[in-house]
Parts: sequence; C-alpha cells; structure tokens
Amino acid sequence: LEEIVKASRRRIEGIFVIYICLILSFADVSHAEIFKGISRVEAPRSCGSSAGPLRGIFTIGTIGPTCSARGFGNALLANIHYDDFIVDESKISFQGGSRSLSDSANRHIVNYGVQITNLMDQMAYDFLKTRGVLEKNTRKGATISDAELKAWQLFIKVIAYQESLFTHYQLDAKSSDEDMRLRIMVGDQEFAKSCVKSKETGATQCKKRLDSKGRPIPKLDAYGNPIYQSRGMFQIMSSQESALAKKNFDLVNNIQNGMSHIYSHWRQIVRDAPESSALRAQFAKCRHQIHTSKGVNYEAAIRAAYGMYNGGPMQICRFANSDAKNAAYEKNSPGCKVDKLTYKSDAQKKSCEAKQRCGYYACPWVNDMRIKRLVVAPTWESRLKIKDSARAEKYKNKSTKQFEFNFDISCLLQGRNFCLRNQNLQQAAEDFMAGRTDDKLFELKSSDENGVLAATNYCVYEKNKKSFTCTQQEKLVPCLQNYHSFKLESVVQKRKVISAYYRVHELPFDINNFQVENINDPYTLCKGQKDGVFTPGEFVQALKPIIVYESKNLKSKQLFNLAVGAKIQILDLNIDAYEGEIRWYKVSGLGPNNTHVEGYFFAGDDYSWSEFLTPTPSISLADQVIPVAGDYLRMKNETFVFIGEEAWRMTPGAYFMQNQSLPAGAIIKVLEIKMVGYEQNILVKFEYSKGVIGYVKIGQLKTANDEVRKSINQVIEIIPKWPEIKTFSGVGFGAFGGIL
Amino acid sequence: MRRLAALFFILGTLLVGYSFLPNSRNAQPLIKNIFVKNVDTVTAGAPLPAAGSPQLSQSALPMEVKNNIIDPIQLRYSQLTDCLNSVDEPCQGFAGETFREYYQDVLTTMHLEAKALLEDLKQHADMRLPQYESFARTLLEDSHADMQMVGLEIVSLYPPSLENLSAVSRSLETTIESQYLSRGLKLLENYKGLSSYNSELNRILNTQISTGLDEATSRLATKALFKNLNEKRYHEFSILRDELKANLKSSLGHISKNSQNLLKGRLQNLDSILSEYASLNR
Repeated sequence: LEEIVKASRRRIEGIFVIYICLILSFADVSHAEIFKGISRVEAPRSCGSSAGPLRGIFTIGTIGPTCSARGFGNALLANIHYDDFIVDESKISFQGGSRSLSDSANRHIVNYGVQITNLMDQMAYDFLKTRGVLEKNTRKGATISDAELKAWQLFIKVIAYQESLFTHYQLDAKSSDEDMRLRIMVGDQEFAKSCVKSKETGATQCKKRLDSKGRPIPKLDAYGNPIYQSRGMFQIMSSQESALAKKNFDLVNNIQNGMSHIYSHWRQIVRDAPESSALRAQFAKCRHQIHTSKGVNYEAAIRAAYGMYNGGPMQICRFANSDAKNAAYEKNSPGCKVDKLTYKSDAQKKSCEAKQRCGYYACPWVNDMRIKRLVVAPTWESRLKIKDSARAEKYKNKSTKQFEFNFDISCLLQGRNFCLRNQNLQQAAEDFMAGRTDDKLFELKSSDENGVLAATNYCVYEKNKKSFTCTQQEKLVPCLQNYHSFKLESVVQKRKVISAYYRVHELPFDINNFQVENINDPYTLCKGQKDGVFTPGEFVQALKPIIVYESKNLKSKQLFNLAVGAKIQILDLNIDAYEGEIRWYKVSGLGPNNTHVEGYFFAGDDYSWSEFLTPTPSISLADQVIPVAGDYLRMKNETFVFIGEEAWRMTPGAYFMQNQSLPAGAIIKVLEIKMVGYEQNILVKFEYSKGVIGYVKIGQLKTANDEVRKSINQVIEIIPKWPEIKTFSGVGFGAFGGIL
Repeated sequence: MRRLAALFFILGTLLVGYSFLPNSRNAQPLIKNIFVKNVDTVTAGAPLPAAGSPQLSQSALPMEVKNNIIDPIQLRYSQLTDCLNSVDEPCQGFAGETFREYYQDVLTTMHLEAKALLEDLKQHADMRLPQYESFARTLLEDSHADMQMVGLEIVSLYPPSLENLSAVSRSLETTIESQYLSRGLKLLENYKGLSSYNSELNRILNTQISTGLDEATSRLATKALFKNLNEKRYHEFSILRDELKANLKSSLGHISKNSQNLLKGRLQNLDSILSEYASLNR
C-alpha cells in the first residue's frame, strides 16, 4: 500500500511539475512572464560600427571614423563636461557635393582644434609643474626651467598632431536620442580605416585583418578585432579587452594617461637617468646629442622620447639613425625629400614616396624626420590656427594667465565624476536631474575601499526629496517602484511581446553628489509594494502542495515538500532579474536525512501568487530561523555592539571602531530587525542600556555556503520567553540584558 | 689539469646545446607556443628575421639568454622582444603591411602565448617549474602593462620568495596602472612572512604616494598604507607628509591652481589617513 501511495504521490508531483511548466509556457503572454531583467548594453569595446566622415590623416582639426560610445564609458558624463570638445557631425557639410568642407564646417572644426589644443597645453603645463614639485628632492635642479616646459608642451602637441586620433568625441547627426548620439574615436586607426573601406564597398561587417599573403590574422578577440590596439588619443599600446585601457574613455584622463606614459620616457632622457643598464647602453649612442656642453638640447630630447614612445624604450636613439637614413635617401634619390609637396613629374613623386614607405605607411625613419620638422618649424600651428600667441591672447584668463574650462581638470583627475565649475554643484546636479526623472531607473557607481572597483547602485530619483533611493540588490529592483515608478519596456514583434526589461540609465554623477538612501533590506524595500511579496522573516502558510527545490529551477533536485496548511518562515525572496516578477522564496526545512536544508520554491507571479501562500501570524519556534520583533535571543559568544539609533547606517569599515560588546549568554529582546549592506547583514535592534539603542549582527542572508540558519545559529539562540533570573552575578546588562 | 678538463667539459656541453638551437632562419616554424610546451627540449624556433636581416644566432643573443642557453622560454621571449624592436628589418611570420600592424602582431603573439602559459600553469600544478617562475620575473620588467599583469599572475602561483618579492616590488614602484598596483599589493600580502617585506612595501608606498606618475595609483597607495600602518610607518610617513607640505608651500607662487589642487589632494589623502590612525591608536 505504501508503495502505491508513494507511486501515486510521485505521479501527482510529476503532474504538478508539468502543470507549472504548462502555466509558464501557455499562459497569456504578459510583461511579468517574459521579463528578462535589467537591460545592459554589452557592447564590445571595439570600433565595429565605425561611421562618420573620413578625411585623410587624423590630426588636430581633421575628422575620422567613429563608433558608438556605448560600451566604452559614461556618454552622459562626456556630454555634460566636454561640450566644447565634441565635433557635431550635423554641422559638417561639404561644398556642392565635393570633398571640401564648407566655411561654417571649417570654422566648427577649427574651433574644436583650438579648444582641444588649449586643453592639452594647460594639462601639459600643469603636469610638468606638478612633477617639478613632486620630484623636487630627486630632480637635478630645483625647478623646471622655462625651456623644458616649453619643449614639453610642444612635444605633447606634436605627438597629438602627428598621429593621434584627435576627434575624440563626435555627435552622430542621425540619432535622435541625446544620450545615444555620442561617438568616440578609439583603437587603431588602420583598423578603423579598413573597416570604413570595407563598409564603403557595401559590407555590413568590418573586414577581418589579413596578413601580407591575404590570410586572416588569427590573433583576434571575441569580436574579431586585434587584441592589441592603441588606447584612445595617445596611441599607447594596450590589449583591447584589457581593464588597463578602460579608464581612457574620459578625455582628461586619457590625455593625462598618455602624458604619464610619455613622461616616463622624457624624464629618463632629460634627467640623463635611463632606468636599466640595457637602456643606458643604448642611450650612450646618442646621449651627447642631447646633453651638450651648452645644456640640454630639447629638440633632440623630443626626438629621442618620440622614438621610445613610438617604437619602444630601446628606440631611444632611433632619431640619430633616422638622420643618417634620411641623408642617404636624399643623396641616392635626387629631388626627393620627406613630405615634399611639389615634384617635377608624377613619376618622380611616385618614385620618391615609394622609397619612404614600409608597406602602405611611412617608415619609422620618415616619422622621425616629420617629427623633427614639426619641432623645428612649427608652421603647422599657424595653418591650423592654433598658434600659441593667438590662443593665449584670446582664451587665457587675464589674471591667472591659464586656460580655463567649464570643468575642473583636477577634479576629474582625482577620479570624481561630476566636475563642472559651478559655485553650487548640488544645485547644478539637481537642475540636471530636474528634466530627467520621469519613469527612469538609474545606475550610480560607488567605489570599493580600494577606490578601484565599483559597486552598482540601482536607483530612482525622488523629485520632491531631491534624493535618490537605491538598492545594491539586483533581485529587488522591481521593489524600487515603491518609491518612484519606472517603465517596464518591451520588444514587440507581430503584436506579440517577445521580451520585457527595465532599462538602466547612467548618470554623470558620483554617489556623493546627492543624498542617497541605499536600501538592501527586502522588508523595507518590498513590504506593501506589491501584493503577495513576502519578505524575509515573515511567516506564511501553504495553500497548495509545494515542492522545495535545491535551486530556483523546477528541474533541480527536490529537497522536501510542504503540505497544504504547512507553516514556514520566509528566509529570502527573489524577484529575480531573470525570473521577473515571478516569485521564488527561500525556506529552511528537514531534508532527506532529517537534517535542516535550505531550498527554494516557486510561488506564482503577480497574477497567481494568492493561489500559493497566505500570511500567518506565527509558527513553531523549532521552524523559526530569523528572529522577529518581540523575540528573546541568547548570545552564544561575545558579540560586538554598535551603539546609537543610527548605528545600522554605518559602513562595514566603520564597525571596527565600536568597542562595546555583549558577553556570551547575554539575553536581549528584539525591537526590530534590519538587513543592511550588500551582504544583507541581519542586525538586531535592542535596548543596550536605559534609553540607549544598540545593534548586534546575528547573521546574514547572503552567506558563503548559502545557509541562513547556520549563519544565525552560530551567533544566537531564540528562546521562548524571558528566563527567570536565578543569580545576580554578572547582571546589570542593560534594561533587557542579563546573564544566566 | 682538473680545471682544464672541467673547462673542456663545459665548452663541450655548450657546443652540444648550441647545435640544437634554431640558429638558422631556414628552420622555419615551428611549434606554435614554446612558452607552454617543450620545456626541456630546444627544438622550436621563433618567426625569424627576414632575409638580409641579422640572424638570431647565438652570438646575436643577449647576454642573459647566453647564460641560460637551454631555457627555451627566455629564448622565445628574447626573440619576440628582438622582433618587436626590429621595425626596420621585421621578423618573418608577422603581419608586415605597416609598422603599427607588425608591432601589434608581435605584441599580440607575446601576450597570447604568455596568457596560454598562465592558463596551463593554473590548471597543472606539476608544470610549475622554476624556469617559468624566472620567466614571470622577466615579464614583470616588460614595458607593456598587460605583459606585466601576466607575469604577476604567474608569480602568484609560486610560493613567496625574496627574489619574487623584489621583482614584484620593483614593478609596483613605477607602475602607472592602478589595476596593476591593486593586484600587486594584494599579492604582496602573501609575502608578509619574508624578511624584506616591510622595507619593500615601504618603498612602493613611499614612491607611489610621493612621486607616483598617476593620481589613481597614488590614491591607491595611500589607502594601502592605511591598512598597513603601525607606529614605525606612522612616523616615517609623517615625515613624508611634512616634506610634501613644505614643497607645496614653497611652490605656491609658481604653479597653477590645477597643480595646487592635485598636490593638495595627495597631501590631504595622506594627512587624513595618518590623522585617522592617530585618533584610533594613540
């Protein structure tokens, strides 16, 4: 009979599982059922969607191909700070179908070139002056000389002119979404160029790179791009997917990073202090050209540093060989010269230029000669209308004699996000938010204790309070609608919703620009927000037979069953990003070996939850895991106490500052339970002494081994009532505390 | 007499070893990744210099390779580094249409092969031979931060040693990459038991805080200092704080507001952690 009952039971369970699956598969298609979670753009960090006008070599004042900024960094942040440094494609027009720019387009680009040169000049000035102070004790000579400063600023401009992708940001003329318009030039210009070329021939994808024999080069990343590419404006070689390169989305930090690299070469040359013996040996070959009896020859110093930057540190003396190669070239090819513009005939021009090329592009020695020309005769500055004196006259602040911008350079360099130069940053931030609050879910980043990694805070903006309410728990994001509504967006095809999601909007702010309340406590965040969402600690009664699974998956191992009428405590809930508003609850019960196990059960969605569970006021003490208000707890070990009504708001790093503790055996009465922080630490509020509130941490919902019961049982025991005190020894532990 | 015999024996051994070297460019490749396989055989060759260019013969090899002639990993690395620097006469087997393309291709090869070695060492503890540890230290001196990062990860697979501590410290002292510094400082925590740990850590933090090229690495070093403060360090870095303060004060009339802010930022970061330490512990 028992076997028959068991078999029937298995059959019923099987039918129930099929029933659930059928519900999930065939129920009316609603947003809730096909909710796909938080929408994230996992765009590859490559120039795969290259677009935009392409004009020759990309120097200051010219424009090249670009790709979408999404996936690289915070586009809104760039928009708000760098308005003067963004080329607006809609302002670029050509004259009568030719490739020549119209006058207004030229003015726009010239203005861009002037602005970015101002920025570079100022940053180069600040950089070297700062180094002068920091290296005062190690530098030969107490201060930076004017000659070195001038040479350094020129060097930065020359590199930028020679080979940088200098239209760093560009606005897409076609896109209507302001936040999506920004495009960025990044990566290897040759790749970008071949990409554009292949697109011009009608290809929808960028052509894979081929070697000289036409075979595909196998060293490609997952997106089909070369793994090593240059980083942004200054072409510092870096792995395409390298975390090291990601900070270079930001214009100011990009320039600074480039200057740091270049300066690491510069100081070795100018200070006559190569860092390795191998480099010292190399430097010996051309040292005399730089450190002369008349002092430092900065023209040669620039050329040496360029060789190191362009070809690696061991190319420190390349410029000297380049001079020799150039002399041989001019001797053996009469009438030829690097960058000569007019020739006797096309044939001579072709012949001369062919001898300067290594493959399609100029040989390194030709680059070195160009650098020399740019350094010796900076007529190019006049041509681009970026001449120092003219810019200084027009743009420098008359009293400080510095270039000024609408953002604070040092603020951006110190790693902050919102750095507009405004008397009242708070007001500026609030004004910015005023038109951007409706129906939006935002993302704000906060740094970890190292200041490097970032935690994601999902937030809504409450216009009336002028503050953000956030959670770090992605699974609780739907509950934020309790504070401010945001849209559930959907993709519809043939009148059928095929996916639904919440879009996360980024902001150009640090989390400390606003008052932010971070709520990771499901009870506080979700309670009363949605019908049928039960939060950790609540007691529920099963209205239908329920199977508890090992994981949030109907196909996972079955741990135990809850019969109709069974009462149980909710340990955690999941309105999961990937399950949408479908509820999964975590509970503890007796598993197959009669030991406590924790697992998950499915409890319907917005429409069907009431068929599964109903609240109940109490359960047996043996089944209770998380204490609730009114319970008595006995401490199993000495436990730290955080004193003060607001002590629960402290960051984990501040906890060590508390030096009060409860001894083992102390008993406290629970006034309130709070779940705090990313780990969802369970804090018990109690009266530490007359009128003094304290908190103790008794466990956490997020545990390494995923067992809430174990984490709590190590710290406390829930006892049925206030025990009778049998002795006075050690008593005097607060109004509700006592030791037995 | 015995010394002479020993000398002949050594010379003979070197000659035998040399006969296995890929010293001709006609010995075209090749085993794809010598960093990973064939540790104890020297049969593989790198993409070698093009016709008319200097051959990678023994005499052309750098001294460190000569001294370690049976180490194919260092040899391969040395060859690729040589290729990287031979832009006028590129090695065969790499994309050579442009200088940039060629440079990227060589660098990519180096990076991928080093990463493949790292993965193998992660998965097979029995592969962790001393020559890979030595190779990792070489990578720490590479001028490309991504290569250094691979070196760091390989070093992390080996037990702490003074040699590794010294090599890691040198690279952390001068890096301008905050992610690299962060990972390196974490690795150094395993080296706490070594005698020179404290002095190495002091040097890294002092250099990064006082003269580090990158603001982010300087900030990170200051935070790392807070975690490692003790009475001795408190005293040493208080002196540094005073120096920074004095330097800033004496330069106020000569530098821009941006420079002042950056220097003040460094000073304030250092000052705040020293003050916090003092309030908690004194």
